[in-house]
Amino acid sequence: MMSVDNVEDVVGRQFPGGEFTVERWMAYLWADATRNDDDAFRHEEAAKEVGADAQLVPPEFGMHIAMEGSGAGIEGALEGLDIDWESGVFHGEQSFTFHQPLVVGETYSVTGEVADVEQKEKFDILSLDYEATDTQGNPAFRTQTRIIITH
Amino acid sequence: MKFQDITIGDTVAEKSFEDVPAKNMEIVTALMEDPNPIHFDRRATEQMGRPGLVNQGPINMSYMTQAALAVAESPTDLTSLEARFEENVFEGDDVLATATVDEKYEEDGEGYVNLGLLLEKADGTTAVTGTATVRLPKGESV
Repeated sequence: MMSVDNVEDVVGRQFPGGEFTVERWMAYLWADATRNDDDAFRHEEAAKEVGADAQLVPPEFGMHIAMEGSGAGIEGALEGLDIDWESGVFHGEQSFTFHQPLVVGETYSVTGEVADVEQKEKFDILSLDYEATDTQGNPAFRTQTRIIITH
Repeated sequence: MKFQDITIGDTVAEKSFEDVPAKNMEIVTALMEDPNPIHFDRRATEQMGRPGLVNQGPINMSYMTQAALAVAESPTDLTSLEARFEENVFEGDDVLATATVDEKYEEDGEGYVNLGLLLEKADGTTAVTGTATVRLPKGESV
């Protein structure tokens, strides 16, 4: 059974949109969980020593900022799809373009959409696009996610 | 590192991450509110025929990012990052992240390097491939 019954209903779907602010503990724990020993991701003073205005957020955490800030989260992004988590859902690709470093305390406004669905015999590939701006409306980052949904 | 000290083809960083821990997958699962059971439920991975919990893509990506940033003067100099997840990394695996210079160029008076990134498992399997662009200062050679 295909996980996407009607591609036309899914592609182009806009997420609700919203905001996300990275709190200090999120960046700190993410750095710990990824074995990142750079204290610029844990302490503001260390971040300022490397030219940042505030405690830095690990760049790949931008994926979570995008998904939650878009108002959809992971499950909302998969809405409309017949997902069987037990069959296997896998992260296929992720890409970022950073216009500024990500920092703790900044509120990012995010928009996103389902950009594409590719249907294969044994799996579908879902492409999600997100764009984030900072409080001043300046571009912060853009990210694309490709998720493989087996069936 | 300085822009003029970089040569195309250089391997500029290798970072080893041994015995990938399940605990860290659980932390990332909680942080991301990720319902995918492959990251925290061994019954699910067993049913799928996997040898253990699966390391999240963003964690694997972080290992490669750390290799890329080893050449930078500051994490603020990372301008792009991408990853293609080829094979699963499982709990207990040892992996090696490598950054190699693919290209260097100048733009608006600043130096940039495009790095090829690789995350390999101990048995030589390619787990993740990717690229990163890092801005490097131009100055006197060391």
